[in-house]
Amino acid sequence: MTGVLVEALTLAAIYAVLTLSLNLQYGLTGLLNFGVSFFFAVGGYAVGVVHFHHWSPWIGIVAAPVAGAIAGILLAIPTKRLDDHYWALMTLGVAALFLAIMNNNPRIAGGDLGTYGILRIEPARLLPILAGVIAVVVVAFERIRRSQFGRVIRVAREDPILLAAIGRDLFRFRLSVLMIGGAVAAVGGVALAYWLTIVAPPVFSLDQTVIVWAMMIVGGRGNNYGSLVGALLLEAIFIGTRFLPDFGGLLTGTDYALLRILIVGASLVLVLMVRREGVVRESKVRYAPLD
Amino acid sequence: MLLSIDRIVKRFGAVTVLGGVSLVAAPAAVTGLIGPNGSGKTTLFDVITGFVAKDAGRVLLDGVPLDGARPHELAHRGLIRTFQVPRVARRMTLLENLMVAPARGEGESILRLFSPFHAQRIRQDEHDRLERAWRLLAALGLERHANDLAEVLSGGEMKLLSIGIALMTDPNTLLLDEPTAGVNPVLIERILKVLAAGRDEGRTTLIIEHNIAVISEICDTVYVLDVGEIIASGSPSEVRRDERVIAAYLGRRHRERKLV
Repeated sequence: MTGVLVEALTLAAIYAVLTLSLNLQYGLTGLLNFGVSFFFAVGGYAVGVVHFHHWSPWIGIVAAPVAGAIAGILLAIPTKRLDDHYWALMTLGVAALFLAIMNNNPRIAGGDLGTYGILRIEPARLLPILAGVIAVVVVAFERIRRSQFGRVIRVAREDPILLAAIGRDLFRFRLSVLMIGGAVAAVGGVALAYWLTIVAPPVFSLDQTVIVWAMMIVGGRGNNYGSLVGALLLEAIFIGTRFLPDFGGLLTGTDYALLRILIVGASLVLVLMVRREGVVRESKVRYAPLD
Repeated sequence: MLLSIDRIVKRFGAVTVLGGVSLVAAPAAVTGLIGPNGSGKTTLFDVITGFVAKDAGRVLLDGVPLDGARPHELAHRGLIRTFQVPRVARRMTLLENLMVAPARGEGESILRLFSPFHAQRIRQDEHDRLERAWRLLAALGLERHANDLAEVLSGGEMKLLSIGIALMTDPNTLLLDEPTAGVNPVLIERILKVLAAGRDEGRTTLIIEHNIAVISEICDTVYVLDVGEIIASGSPSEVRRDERVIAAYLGRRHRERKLV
């Protein structure tokens, strides 16, 4: 039981890293990035490619956030030309394209079979590392949120025209945010690769984007702590449904899989109906009067 | 800064919205721009501030042409505007709305934000922004909402806040699109006081306004725009007596009722 709990917490922690990244991009900056799984995959594949070619694992670990930041630049460039909603569609396309490339080129990282047998970091070790990563990310993101940079990106979210009217270049800030978001999400991909020991296209499917979006919205957009709550809550639902009774063989394994998706969908709808801002609301940055 | 608009032409398809508009807004003065709805006033603002591309003509700031510059570049040079429907960051507090506006600053670079060498300067910059924001909120009479989200404000208060955001940038040239529409008389007094203070410091101010009393009170020169052309200009009292202005904009009853 403790084993299951630690495994579940590890997975929740991996998703928390992704959710924090998305919260910076959408929750604070208003970027409709449906390519979260792209950043996730870039991190995972940094490990996968290195493993596939028998290079030192450290290369993958160091390269992952750098590759994630470069992926962020790649997604940022089209924001100059595309309207927000077209850009959102494009991010979805880029994520699918990346997987298609990996799927069809066996020499990069094993193609559709992927690459197996990555040395597993046991959850008992991985979880404390992830806890450290999350702590650093939360502290950094909170600092960003309260800073002048944080105010500017929130104006970008609220009204890009107002941002231009006060003399700020929207692109510059979107670029920074997507680079940071890409790097952080890629670290999540690294963790998943070492937890699962497999890097293959289905691992980083578009479903992952949906899960991370659901976690951010349920937890509360614009709130870094909300991202943690959302990741924990939905992961608890995922794991919890495994322990449902089978009602004397009435429900089969496939039924459970469907049921879990149903519950996640229902929780998302419920949150949007009764508490649109999510479980934890975006908190105000307050200032005391000067003496 | 001397703002000169030189024969600006703007067409939307077959419709000519601005048919060669020229005007001059002088430093240390408030220039008014009046005219009926649909006469092209806001479009002229959009062209000057780079939000809309012009078809012909030039915009000059102290004799330097501003061709092809994007809105944020113009704003960065001190050419700041407000909008007829006020633009504010609704899910940010009033203090934050004001604090964000002044140019660049140390905390705006993500690298410096995490550099220990810049910590002191960032703290100072934050303190300066906060101090100015509190002072301006007091001047605009919005102090009690300092830590409220802007979305709780009424329409008139949002207008005030949007003017505050523009003022926080300390612009050398300020374009205000109907600054007093929907604002009650006491607050109009406040706005006029703030505008007069800016004028006395040498700021160039151009305002679109329908309130003739406001125009008479604050404007040194008034231009009247009708169907994309300047039909009159001069001091407020000269313009008010102009037959064409009465016909196109003020209406006959204006004179009979002696509005001002």
